This record gives sequence, structure tokens and C-alpha cells, in this order.
Amino acid sequence: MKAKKFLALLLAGALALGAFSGCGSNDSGSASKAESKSESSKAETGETNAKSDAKLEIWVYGWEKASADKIQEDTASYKDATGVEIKVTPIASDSYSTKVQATLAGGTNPDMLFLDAGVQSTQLASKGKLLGLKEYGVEEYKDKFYESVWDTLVYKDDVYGLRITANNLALYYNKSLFANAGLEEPTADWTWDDLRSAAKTLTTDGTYGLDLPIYNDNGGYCWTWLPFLWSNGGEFANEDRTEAIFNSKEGVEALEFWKAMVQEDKSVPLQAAPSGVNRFTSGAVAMTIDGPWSLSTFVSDPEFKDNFGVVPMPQKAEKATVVGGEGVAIFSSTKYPQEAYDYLVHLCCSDFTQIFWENWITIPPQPEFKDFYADNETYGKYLQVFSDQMEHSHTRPFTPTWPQIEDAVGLNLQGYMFDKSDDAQASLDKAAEEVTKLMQEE
Amino acid sequence: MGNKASSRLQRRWNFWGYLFILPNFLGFVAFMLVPIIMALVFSFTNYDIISRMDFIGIENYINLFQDDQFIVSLLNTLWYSVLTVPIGVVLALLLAVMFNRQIRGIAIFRTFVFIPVITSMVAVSLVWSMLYEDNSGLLNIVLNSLGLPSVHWLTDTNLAMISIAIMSIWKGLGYNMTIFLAGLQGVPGELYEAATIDGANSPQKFWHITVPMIGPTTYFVSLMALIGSLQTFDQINIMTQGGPVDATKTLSFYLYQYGFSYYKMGYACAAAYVLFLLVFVVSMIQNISSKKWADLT
Repeated sequence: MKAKKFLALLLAGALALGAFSGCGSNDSGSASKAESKSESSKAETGETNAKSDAKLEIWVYGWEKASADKIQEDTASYKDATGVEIKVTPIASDSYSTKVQATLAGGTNPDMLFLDAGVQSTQLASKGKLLGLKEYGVEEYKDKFYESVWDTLVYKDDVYGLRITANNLALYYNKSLFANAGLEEPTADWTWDDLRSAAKTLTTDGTYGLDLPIYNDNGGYCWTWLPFLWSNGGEFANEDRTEAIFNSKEGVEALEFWKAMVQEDKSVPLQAAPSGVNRFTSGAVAMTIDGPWSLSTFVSDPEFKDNFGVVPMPQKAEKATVVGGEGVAIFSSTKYPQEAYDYLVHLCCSDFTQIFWENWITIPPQPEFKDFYADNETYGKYLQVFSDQMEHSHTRPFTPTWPQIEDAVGLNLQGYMFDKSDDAQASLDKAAEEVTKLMQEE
Repeated sequence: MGNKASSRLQRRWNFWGYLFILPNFLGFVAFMLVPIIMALVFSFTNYDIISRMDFIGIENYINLFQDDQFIVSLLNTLWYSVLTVPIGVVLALLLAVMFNRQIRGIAIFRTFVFIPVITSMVAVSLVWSMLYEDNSGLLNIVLNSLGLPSVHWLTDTNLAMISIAIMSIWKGLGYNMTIFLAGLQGVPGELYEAATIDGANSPQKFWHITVPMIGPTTYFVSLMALIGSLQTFDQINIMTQGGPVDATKTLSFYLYQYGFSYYKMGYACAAAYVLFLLVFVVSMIQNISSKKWADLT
């Protein structure tokens, strides 16, 4: 009897434990471990070294493993030189921004982080979560960067980080499909008309001329359409970013240009590709508008790697493309703002910075390194196109509500693409009205 | 004295009983009850997860009903339920009746119908979005080979929701069928024998014996199907992301966007409570109306 009772108690206890161990033990466990580790190292080095005894934690992209490893390797010599101990935490991609939000809510956020410059930085800065860097003298580095790149991290008269990478959009094309159609390959000064007529010629049974994100990728729609708006001389918003002005004559033309290709020429596929299918490498589309991040996919396909080329965005009134990329920022909650700022400069504006471009297929955000990839056998000729295009790149007019703005633009303009509306002006007016409201929010 | 002893025994039993349900109950409190109550509180605030949580009264609810996209999502959700629930339940019942006999190899057929149920929705959605492809999709290739024109399964704003409904019915069929099979096995064979002796034909037996006898099962299956359909998210997220334009945007997808893309968690919670209310009201209506046709005693 006793033994049975004991067993039952044991079983119940085990069940209860099982229920608990499922929740959050991972996080709390590793956090406390990290804490005790930093406590003990503080005791060891703190007093004997006259240098700073600051400890900083930085979140880096886990999927950029090569550069994450380099940062990790570098921490030892950085500690020798400055006394500052850096803890590098790689975070997996699919949960990155959710994790940032969650740790901020719980107050367990790191001191610094890699982030999507513009979208994420503006949102965090608007909530007072990022450290404004003007008072630390960040503006001495302003001239090192492309203006469009620098502007992505500016929000309301302060600067919230430095850039490590840049990228933009250009036109990729499939060489053999061009040859089969008897067409000349695209050139650097292709116009919209060249694009449209080539796309039309390339469209045959089973092949489309050009891929555009018109199906369900609202953010992608806005991002890819913006270069067309700018190239036509249009603007998305006023200087203060309080009012949308893309419902202009230029905007209407840019939108009608897309619609003509989609509905008249039928040279653009209406459907999103199923995940995992790349329509460009499979030859289902002859041209696509994409960034340098896709190069590794294209090059790693042995049958495709010599079959594509890239040229700058086709132009109308002027050359234009959109700038994206990553930066590093400091959380305002850090205990060591000065040390964090120094480390930020070390990452983004020192000799060390080049490791990012060596290990990450991306574009240097500093014009001084415009030809950084000139000698790269695999990627050089492609990356040079993107790099040369940086001088024509524009910044998106970020506000804290930017993700919602992109969706509002995408949704309204897609309605026009899918013939739910046949009035470009009305679709743009409705989108602009919604965007203006979002820009003025809070 | 005997009484006292038995109540002590009772107490001891209760103690062990509670102890054994404790783990599950704690999980329920931590991951269901508390979040449900907190979501209600959040729905009256401008909670953004990281920086603020000010009480703003019913502003979120007012804004919800002034947002075209919310209304569109609401209507889409109801449309999806109308498409999937009646057809799904009727098909499942017919299949169950068909499979409810002792033929050699019937278990294999039942298994085939059940396989989609145990396959993850993500995998099923990916495969179906390939089947539905405009040019290279299998369905259109078959149609074309029969000399029929291609159908724009997921690219026609009027058709996309129907295409998703077709897939979802197929996916859920096996589950509903299994429940119906269990219900059918509970119908006493004597009733059919008696009816046969009285000269009833098969349709008569179906309508006058099977359907009334499995009333509670039908009630359960249709209620579960309805609740599930009002919360549809996975296949939308994978196959269309609410597109083309907003033709397949459901309430769950709408509130997910607000909560996790725009970080307007207070607003998303308000949308979630409207969804909850919708599920609650619709279930209640069904509960009351079913008293008439399903003998639930």
C-alpha cells in the first residue's frame, strides 16, 4: 500500500515537472548561465585592468554564419585592446524580429543588434528603444556613406546606427531565352519601352517575359514598384514624411506601365511561385527584378550559373533604384553606451568592416569601397552592377508604420493589377489617402 | 463511523484526483486562461508589445468596424464557412455510409481517406499550390489535355477562396468520416433488420434510421467543422497570403498581420475577440437549433 502511494506521488510529480519543463526553461537557463559567467569574469579582470570592464552582448544574424564567426574571433583581440568583453549571440532568421520584440517586452534585450536598416530601426527608434548617436559624434562618419544609405538610419533629427551592408534592385535576365527569341541582351541604359517590348517578345507558351511581385507579396510590391515611380521623376512622400504624394501624374504612369505588361501584354505571371520554386532559374520567366542576395542561388545552380546576366534598373526620366540592407544599432537600455558606440564604430567604420563584404554577398555601403569586388571571380561582374547603381539609389521614406504602409500600397495597387478597378488614379488616390493617415499616426 | 471513513476515503480520492489533473490544469491556466483574459484587457489598450499600454476604451473596436479590410476579412471568413462546412459534412457522411460495411480491403480505403488528415497542413498547402499553378499545375494540364480551358484557380479573385475551400474539404474529409463511422457503428442493427422486414428500401432506411440515429454525431462534426472554418489560417498563409488582392484574407490572417507584422497588438486582440464572439454566437445558434434535430440527451 505504502509503496503504491509513493509511486503514485512520484508519477504525479513527474507529470507536473514535465509540464513545467516545457515552458521557457531554455531561455531562463541560458540567461542565468550567461549572467553568472559575466559575474565571474568581472571578478577576475575587473580590478586588475585599468581599461573598461564593460560587457556587451550583440545579436547577429545566425544565417550569416561566416561573418558571425569572424565577429566572434575578433572579440578576443578587441578585449585585449579595450578591455570590453563582447558576447556574440547568433539568432536564427525566422524569429529574429519577433525575438527582438519579445526580449524588449521582457527587458532581457541585448546591448546591440544587427537590424534591417530603415524598417526595423525606425520602428524601434520611434518607441525610444534605440540610442540616439548624435551626441556621441556619429556624424563625423556621415561622409563615408552613400547619402541614401545614411538616411535609412535617420529618424526625427537623430541617427540610430551605422550601416554594414547595402543592396538595391536590378534587372536579371536569362541569356539563352534572349538568344532563342533572337533578342539583343539588355544594356545598362535600357528604357521602360525596351523592357516592355522585350518582355512581350519573350512571352511564349509556358514562359513569361518578366516577373513582378503582383500577387500577394504586398511589401514586395511596394519595394519593387518604387524604382519605377522614382525613375519617372515621382516621389513617394513629402519631405516631412507626413503626406503621400505618389498619386501624381508620374505615379499614374508608373502604375499604368505595370498594368499594360500584366493585362495587355500578359507578359507577367499573375500567380506567386509556390515556395521553393524559383521561376527565374527554372526558366519560367526570362527576366526578374531582384537584389544581390539572390546571386548565390543563381550561381550555385550548375546549369544556370553561366546563363544569366544583370543590368541596372530600366529607366525613364532618370536612373533610379531602391536601397536596402543591414545596420547595427544600440539599445537605449545599455549600461555602457560609450563602449557600445566605440564597438559600433569598430564594426562599421574600421578596417574590420571589410569582413562583412568578404563573407556576405552584399554591397559595401561606403563609396570608397565601390570596386571592392572587382577581383572576385564568381560574383565580381554582377556585384559591380549593383555597386555602380548605388549612386542612383533612393531611400524609402520610413515612418514607424512602414510595414503597414507597404501593405496598404500593395493591396490597393494590386486591386488595379487584377482588374478589380480600371482607374489608376483612383487606386493611387485611395492608397495615398491610407498611407497619409498611417504616416501621421501617433 | 462508516460514514466518516468513507468521506475520508472520498477526500483522499479527491486529493489524488486533483493532483493528477494539476499538471494539465497548470498548463491550461498558464497558456490558455491567462492569455485569454490578458487578450481581453489588451483589446481595450494601444498595447504594442514593447513600449506602451494605455487604456483607450473601445476605440479599437470602433476602428475595426470602420476598416474596409476588416469587413472584407469578416465576409471572406463567413463565405469560407458557407463553402466548406455543409459540403464537408455531407460528403463525410456519404463516405462513412459507403465505407461502413464489411468488404475485403475496406480498411485500405478508409486509410487513404484519412491520410490527408494526418499530413501537416503546411505540406498539403504547398502541394496544392503546385497543383493549382496557372500554367504548369497538374490540374490545368489535365484540363487542357481534355480540351478544356485552363482555370485560374488561385489567380482569379472570385475563384481563389473556392479553390482553397476545395482543398480544405478534401483535407478534413477523413477526420469527419471517422467520427461518422463511429456514430454509424452505434446504430443498432435490429432497426435496419426490422425496417427491411417492413419493406423499406435503402434511401428510406438512410433517411429514417441513419440520419436521426446519428444526430449527435452530426451535431458534433458540424460544430467542430464550423469552429475550425472560422479560424482558418494555415492554408491561407501558405497558399495565398490573403491574395489575390484581398480575396482570401480571413479574420485570423487579418489579426495575425496586425499583431505580428505591425505590432498593433491591442488592435489585433480586439479583432481576436470579435472572432471569438462570432464563433460563440454561431455555435450558440447551432446549439439551440440542433435541439430540434439532434437528440443530445
